[in-house]
Amino acid sequence: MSLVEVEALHRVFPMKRGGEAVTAVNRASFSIEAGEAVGLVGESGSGKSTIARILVGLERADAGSARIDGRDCLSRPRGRAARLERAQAVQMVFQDPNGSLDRRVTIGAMLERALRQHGRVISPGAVRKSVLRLLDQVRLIERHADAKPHELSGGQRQRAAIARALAVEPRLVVLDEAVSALDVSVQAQVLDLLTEIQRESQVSYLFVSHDLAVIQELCQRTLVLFRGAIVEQGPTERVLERPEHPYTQLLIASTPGEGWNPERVVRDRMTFTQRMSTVGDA
Amino acid sequence: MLLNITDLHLAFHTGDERASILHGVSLMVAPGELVGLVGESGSGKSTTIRAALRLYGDEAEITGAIDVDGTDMIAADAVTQRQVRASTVALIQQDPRAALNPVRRIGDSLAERLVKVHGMRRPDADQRILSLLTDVGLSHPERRMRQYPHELSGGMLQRVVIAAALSTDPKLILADESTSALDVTTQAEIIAMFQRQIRERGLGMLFITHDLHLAAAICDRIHVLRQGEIVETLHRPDMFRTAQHPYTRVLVDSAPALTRKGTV
Repeated sequence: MSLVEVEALHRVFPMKRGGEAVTAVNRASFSIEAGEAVGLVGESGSGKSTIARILVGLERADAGSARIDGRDCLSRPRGRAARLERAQAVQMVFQDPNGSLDRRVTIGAMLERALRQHGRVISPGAVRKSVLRLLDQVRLIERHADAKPHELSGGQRQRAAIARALAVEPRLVVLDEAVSALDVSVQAQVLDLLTEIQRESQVSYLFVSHDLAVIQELCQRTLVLFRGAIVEQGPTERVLERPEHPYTQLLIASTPGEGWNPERVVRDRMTFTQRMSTVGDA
Repeated sequence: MLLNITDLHLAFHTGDERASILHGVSLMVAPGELVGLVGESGSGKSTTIRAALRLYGDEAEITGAIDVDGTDMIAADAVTQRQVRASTVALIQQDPRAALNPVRRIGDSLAERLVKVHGMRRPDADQRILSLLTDVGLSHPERRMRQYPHELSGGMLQRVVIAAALSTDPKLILADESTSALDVTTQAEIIAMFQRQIRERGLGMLFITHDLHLAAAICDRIHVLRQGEIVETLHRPDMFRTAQHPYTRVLVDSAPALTRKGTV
């Protein structure tokens, strides 16, 4: 059995003002093994974040099933034990640490709170030790425990957010565009850090990104999402080198690099859109 | 020369404190040129173009020379500066929400400038905006014109702001991370449109980005800015391969590149 098993997951958002309903997730099925980093790529509006949010319980599904470590993600039983179990199954890291960290609380206090709330019951001395261990794990130092988020750089803030996610030793961490807002040199450091953590702790990642190059750095397997449906999945190397679905091919050809020609991308996009609409009509 | 910045120094005064931000930045953009400005957050990219348009008040101490299409922006009075900003240059800022009035419909926001500043008739202004919104690839442009900014996604608003920038046929566009929030295919559409205007009517463009691969693919030359100083300027055709400065090397080595084979 895989760590994460998602089957025929479906979510439709009704539009306000009588517009058409949007199928954000369209019968998506995939799995993630323990210790595996899986990339989820697609354009904005393709449903990436909706899938991520369903897995962590921030969004509900209309149909289908999602299990992490055998536990149903779609039902939300009450009570401390259930909450703890949920927290230990999956944690999330968001794009903007300014929005996801409490600006009034020091990093140390934030980590302590995460440890006490979701972790095993531990003594004050042990909590402090765990905080230092977490800081060390994300390459922050003891001094950062007394800092508030605004006293840290963007990269340090995102490390603190990762430390909080790791506090309860979850099986899966969902990262939603977690390095997209960082400068390239900081982004490279955080990606290296994520790779190291994965190697050390055997945690699994679902890494949501619009950036194929970043996914290539971190993920062993890649899922390609188009209009809520997973149109291609496989080992990252295979997907990027021998993309089978025209949408994956389009995404790869659109990424700026040597010989990139915007006019050609626009033409490819038009050909692709026409092709998809004829397929849709048939 | 559309933009000629020479030895620009800038410092901010807050109370008794003085923070020096730019240390002698020089760069030029000629008609038909696409010039890149890259560097990490806080390197002074946005400050450079905001200073070039004299968007800072007395809190900023500026020395050096700034010439925009023949106007000396340091010596010019406020009215002349405003004229340059209204007709010659368009600035596309990073955050489209900050550029649009949240309580006005998009069509009204965009038409107002054309009518009040450029003396266009309202129906003509509406027609022009409609065609530009179509050009930037916005779906249902008629409906968008009647909508408010909060009803549109960030990517859609970014296209609205780009259409607004093009609406006055500027000679020079200063684009600050203007396509960073867009999907790769949308980004390509917008860049293709910029390139057409550069080719066909000699538009000059200063393109600020953190995306080195994008900059290398489209720019005629790239200035690398670090802590308020241009540490290196890269030229076609080799761009990053010839980079000498250690900071440029760090940037290039950190930027994840998609290694591709056998694509379409």
